[in-house]
Amino acid sequence: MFFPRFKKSTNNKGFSIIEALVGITLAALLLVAFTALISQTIKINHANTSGLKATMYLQELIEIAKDLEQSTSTWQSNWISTTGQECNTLYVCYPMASGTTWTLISTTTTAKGEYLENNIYTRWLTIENVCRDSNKNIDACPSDELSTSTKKVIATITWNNGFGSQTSTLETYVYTY
Amino acid sequence: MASGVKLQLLKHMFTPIKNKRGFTLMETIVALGIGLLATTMVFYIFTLGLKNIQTIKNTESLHSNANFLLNTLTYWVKQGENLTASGSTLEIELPDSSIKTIATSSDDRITLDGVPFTSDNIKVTDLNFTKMARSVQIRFTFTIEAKSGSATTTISATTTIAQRNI
Repeated sequence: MFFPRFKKSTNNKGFSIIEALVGITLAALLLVAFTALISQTIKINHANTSGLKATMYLQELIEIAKDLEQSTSTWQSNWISTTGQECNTLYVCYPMASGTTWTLISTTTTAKGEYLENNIYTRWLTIENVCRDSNKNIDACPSDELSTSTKKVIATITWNNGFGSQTSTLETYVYTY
Repeated sequence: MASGVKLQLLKHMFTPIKNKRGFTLMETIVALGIGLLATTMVFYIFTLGLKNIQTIKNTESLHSNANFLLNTLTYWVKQGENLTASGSTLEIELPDSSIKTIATSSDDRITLDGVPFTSDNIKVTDLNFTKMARSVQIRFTFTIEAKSGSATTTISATTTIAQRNI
C-alpha cells in the first residue's frame, strides 16, 4: 500500500515484517545521523571557546613576564620563585598576584604549574638562559658567552577541548638594560 | 484530442468506485499515528538544529566581542604611561596627558570615553580591573540572555596586559 514495489504478498493487508523493519531502520538511521551532527557541532562550539580562553590564559603568562621584566631593579631575581627554586630544569613556575606585584611560584615538573577552571587548563612558565655568539647574536647554548642581560621565557598551556589534549606555547625574551 | 476520448475520460473520472477497497478505520488510525510520530520527530530535530544554530551564533558573538575588548585594551594600555584602575573603570593616561577611560554603561556595555564598543545584544555582567606593578589584570563576563529557543551563553575569563617597556 505504502511500498507497492516491495510488496510480494498477494493480499493487501498491512506491512510485511521486512517492510516494517526497513522503515524503522531508515527512520532510526536518519535520527542517529541528525543527533550525531548536532552533538558534534555543540562539541566543536565548546572546543572553540576553550581554545579562545586557552589563548588568553597563555598570553597572560607572557604579559606577566613583561610586567616582571619592568617592575623590579633586581630583575634577575624575578625569575626565581618565592620558594627559591629557579623556573627551569626541575621546576616550572606559575604567576600569582600578591598585592600589586606578580610573584612566581614553583612546582615540580611532574605536578605541573597552575590549574585553572577545575583543571581544564594547566599552564606554566619556564625560564632559560640565553647564549650569544661572537657577534652578540642569540645562539643555542653553549655558545661564546652566557648572556647576563637576557632570559628566554617559555609559556605553555595544556587543556582538553573535548576531542583530546591540546598544547600551546609562546616564547619571548626579557632584557635588562 | 478527439472529443470522444475527452468524454470517455470525463466519464471515467465520475464513475463511482466499486469493488475497490479503501482504508479501514484501523489502517487510517495507524497511518495517522505513524505520520504524527514522524512529524513530531522531524519537528523535534528541526527545532534542535535551530536552537543549535542560535547557540553557535551567540557563542561566535561572545568570542568576537571578547577578542575586540582585549584588542582595544591592549592597544590603549600599551600606549599608556599611567594606569588607574578601580573596579570596572580603567583610566589610561597617554603620553600627551590626555586620559582614555574604559568603563561600563548603564545598559551593561563597555565604553571607551563614554562610547559603547561591545555589541548591544551582549550584557557585560562582570568587568574588573586590577592594577599591578606594570600591568593590569582584567576579569570579565559576557552573557547573552536566553531568548525563546536558545540557551543562555556566557564567556568569562581573566587575562593580563602589560605596559610597554619604555
